[in-house]
Amino acid sequence: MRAGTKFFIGASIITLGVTMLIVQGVKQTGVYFLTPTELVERTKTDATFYDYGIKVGAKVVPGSVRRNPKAQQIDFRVSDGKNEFPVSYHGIVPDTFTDANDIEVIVEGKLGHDGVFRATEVLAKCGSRYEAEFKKGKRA
Amino acid sequence: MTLLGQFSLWVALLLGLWAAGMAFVSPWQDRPEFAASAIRSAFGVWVALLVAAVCLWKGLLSHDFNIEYVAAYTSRNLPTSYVFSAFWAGQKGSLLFWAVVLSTFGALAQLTTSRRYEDLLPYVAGVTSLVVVFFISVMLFGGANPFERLPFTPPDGRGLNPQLQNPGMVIHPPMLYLGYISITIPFAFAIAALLSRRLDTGWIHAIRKWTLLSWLFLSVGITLGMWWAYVELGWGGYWAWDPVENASLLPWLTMSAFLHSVMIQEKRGMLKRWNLSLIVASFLLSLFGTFITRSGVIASVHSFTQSNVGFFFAGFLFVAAVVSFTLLYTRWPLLKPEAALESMASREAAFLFNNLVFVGIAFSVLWGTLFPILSEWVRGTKITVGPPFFNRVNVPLGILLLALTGIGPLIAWRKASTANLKRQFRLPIATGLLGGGVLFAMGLHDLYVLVALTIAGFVLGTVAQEFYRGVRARMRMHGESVPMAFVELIAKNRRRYGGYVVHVAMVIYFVAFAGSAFKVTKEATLKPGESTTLKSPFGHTYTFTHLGVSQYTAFNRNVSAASLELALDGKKIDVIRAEKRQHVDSFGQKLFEPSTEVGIRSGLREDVYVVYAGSVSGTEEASFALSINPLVWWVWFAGVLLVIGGLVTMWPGGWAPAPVARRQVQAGFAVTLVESEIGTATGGEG
Amino acid sequence: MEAILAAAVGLAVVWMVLQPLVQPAPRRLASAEPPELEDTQRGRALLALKEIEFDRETGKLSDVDHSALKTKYTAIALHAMRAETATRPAAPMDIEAVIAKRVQQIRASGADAPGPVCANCGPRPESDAAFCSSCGVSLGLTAACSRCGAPVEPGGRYCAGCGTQVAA
Repeated sequence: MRAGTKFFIGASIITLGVTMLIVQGVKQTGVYFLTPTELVERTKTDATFYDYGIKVGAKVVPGSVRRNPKAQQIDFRVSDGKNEFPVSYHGIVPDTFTDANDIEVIVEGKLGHDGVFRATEVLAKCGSRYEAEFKKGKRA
Repeated sequence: MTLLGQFSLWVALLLGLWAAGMAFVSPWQDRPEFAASAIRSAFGVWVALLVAAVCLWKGLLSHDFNIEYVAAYTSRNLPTSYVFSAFWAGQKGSLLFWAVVLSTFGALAQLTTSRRYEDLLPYVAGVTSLVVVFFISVMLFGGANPFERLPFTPPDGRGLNPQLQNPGMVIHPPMLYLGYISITIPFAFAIAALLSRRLDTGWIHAIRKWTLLSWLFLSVGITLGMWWAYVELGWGGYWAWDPVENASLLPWLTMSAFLHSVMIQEKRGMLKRWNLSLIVASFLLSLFGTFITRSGVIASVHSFTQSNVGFFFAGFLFVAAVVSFTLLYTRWPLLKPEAALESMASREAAFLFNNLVFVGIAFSVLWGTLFPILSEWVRGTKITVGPPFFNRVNVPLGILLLALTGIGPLIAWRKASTANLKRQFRLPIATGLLGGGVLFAMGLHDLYVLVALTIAGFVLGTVAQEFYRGVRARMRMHGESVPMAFVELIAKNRRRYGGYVVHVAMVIYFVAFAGSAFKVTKEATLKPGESTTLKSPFGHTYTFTHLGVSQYTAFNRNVSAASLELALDGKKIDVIRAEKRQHVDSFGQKLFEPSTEVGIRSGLREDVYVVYAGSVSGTEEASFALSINPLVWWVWFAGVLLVIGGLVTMWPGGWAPAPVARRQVQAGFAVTLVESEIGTATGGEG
Repeated sequence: MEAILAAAVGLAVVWMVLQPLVQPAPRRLASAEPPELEDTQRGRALLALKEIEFDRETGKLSDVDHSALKTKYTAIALHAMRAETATRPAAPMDIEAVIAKRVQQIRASGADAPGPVCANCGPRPESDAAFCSSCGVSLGLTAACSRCGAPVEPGGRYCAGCGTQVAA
């Protein structure tokens, strides 16, 4: 067999392996990323979406944050304007997670049958930097 | 100085367009003076952008808060070094930084490239100028002008984001940018070679130093980025497979592939198409990286604010891809390989597989990064993949790559026979198995880690054997002493032995990454005087005793600092301080959310990592996140070693023949040229 | 102040860019430097030979493979060297001879060269010379006999008209 042919076989094996790894990986570790409305719709039609690992991107409802530092427990509500539900999280939230308005969060975890979303991870993104504010001249 | 800055941007824009026009018209019309003008314009762009950069720095350092950018990213009480680095802290400034650095590299490429490639240089000037023009257009027409003024002058600026107030942040983005940007030069040479149809190995030699340089910048940038994430983001790790991190890894992977495959082209005249594609892909991926960082298309902790700048990048990315690949397609027949693979048992074959794995990893990372968008397009629902996906796919591929790192150097170029392979592989394999066996006996039973460490031992064995046998061979062939042979071995083939140093650095990275599998964490809420313990993966016990929280004001922040006394197996060894900082402006107004400053005690074996999460309702009772991170120190050490290896490889000289021989060759060549000149000048009359 | 600076920068840059168009530099030789050794077939083959020796010495190549590869790359190197010498004059080259040849050629084509021309020695390098700096003959006139004024053949030692010896 020529070296080129042998190499071609080896290359095919590697390519196939990479493809398999990617496909399997997506299947087994992919997580749905939903808005609260989408999640509500899904759970209505499909009960398997309860207690199933998902990510939800939404805004924190201003004033809803309850912190219990002793137990390192934080409860808050998230909303996309139409639907909202409570989130409960145990652990340390990032610095960007504050009580200020317009905090966008991504919570990862499971929605329980009681309607409470138990988050295993909370990512917060500060909604805006200061450029917009300056343009409106609010700060002056 | 905004007027001058603004003006310089426009001058640079027009000059860049002029350079591109002249460069591409010159060979077509056979007007060498156009090419000369194009190169001059490339220098002009450089000068104009330097002036613009000086203007922005002057605005920053003089606290001219009427300039929107200055007001948005600095404040009066910001330490001067951070005021200086605020140049690249924001979107607008970093675009200018890109343009300045790119034009500098463009000018350097013109100055340092050997005259023997001078017919490529006008094209290089054209391509680099076009890329610069793109960045200037984003600034001028994409609403990202750093010289924009406000209708009023705020009394103080909004300050720099506390997460960016870190020495790592002062150098990590520019390092990464330097990596991204310097890929443009090899890309420009590749396009120049394609356009001029000078597709021999010449352009490859012209860019040898550049590819190494950008690979080195990328490596350093990525490592510093890990360091920044580790000390500043406070989640206890250095790599989270965040889209921006992935984006920086992508061009690094394709460049690493190129650095290997280019050797095959130099030696054998094979893989010309592949190498060109890799360079083009690296450039496109580096653009993709900047696009990801700036567009907000994919959520990331490192990204700038969302803005319409993303559309510019997407457009440019698309155009650059179409143009490059069309060009490549039209020159396809000119890029026939000069030789075929001789044997599967050859260094070439090992390199080919290593390239496949590099590209496979790059593809899987790209796929995972883009998957939320792809799945939304195809299926209508966003599906994200996170660290579990990347680890699952890349850990096996990474181990395969590590194995190839050890296999490649043991096989001769061109071909090898079984008997020799046995002789070559015996020792390294024994080293690996011995190492693995010892670790297993010591109680390490994690399969992936065990395999990775065994292979790491194999690679180290390979490198050691290569050095040992190389020294022995030199001693026999040249009768040199041991130290002399060692020095000469490296000096005579810097690329190979510098490369081996880099391989050792990669092994150390892998070992350190494997160590993160044994991270131990604990969350605790402690009153002053209370303690908690954590067992290290190496078997000893750390005791943390909360000493109390102190509050004080530093010059641009209010600090709450919690102190923990650390004891190792009952013996006090250190006091760790972790802080919460509230940054304020010079009027005492709060800026930003409070930020966390972690306390780290770094050691060869493991790091003790303390995050002060906050106090319980204003008392000194505080909650902490504690972790023991094994082998983290070795990641930074590997970074240093990698730079050393890279510098050895890049050191001038080495491969070139001795100067005297070179001068003789050149003298002979000059005479030949004179002869041919005479032949043409007098041919008609004779 | 800023406007003046801006104008200065602008003008400097414009001059820099346009200068090559206004005063085009003379066309240069295709390439003033020889290709890098690794860019030539000969160089690649020689490097391969060096590497083959080293690989055998470190035990990567067996003696059989070594001699096969050595034969192959020696042949390639020789072939490339022959091809190179075929396209250029035989080495070692005598640079003096080349220069002498060139000088002769320039002299031969001296008729259309500018500047004074000596009847004996050809074109002169000194553009304003009245006498030849080599043989002393006046450059304004053709050489003439100092006694009878008849023209003297270039290189002639006696006047053809009166037989007087002419200064050589």
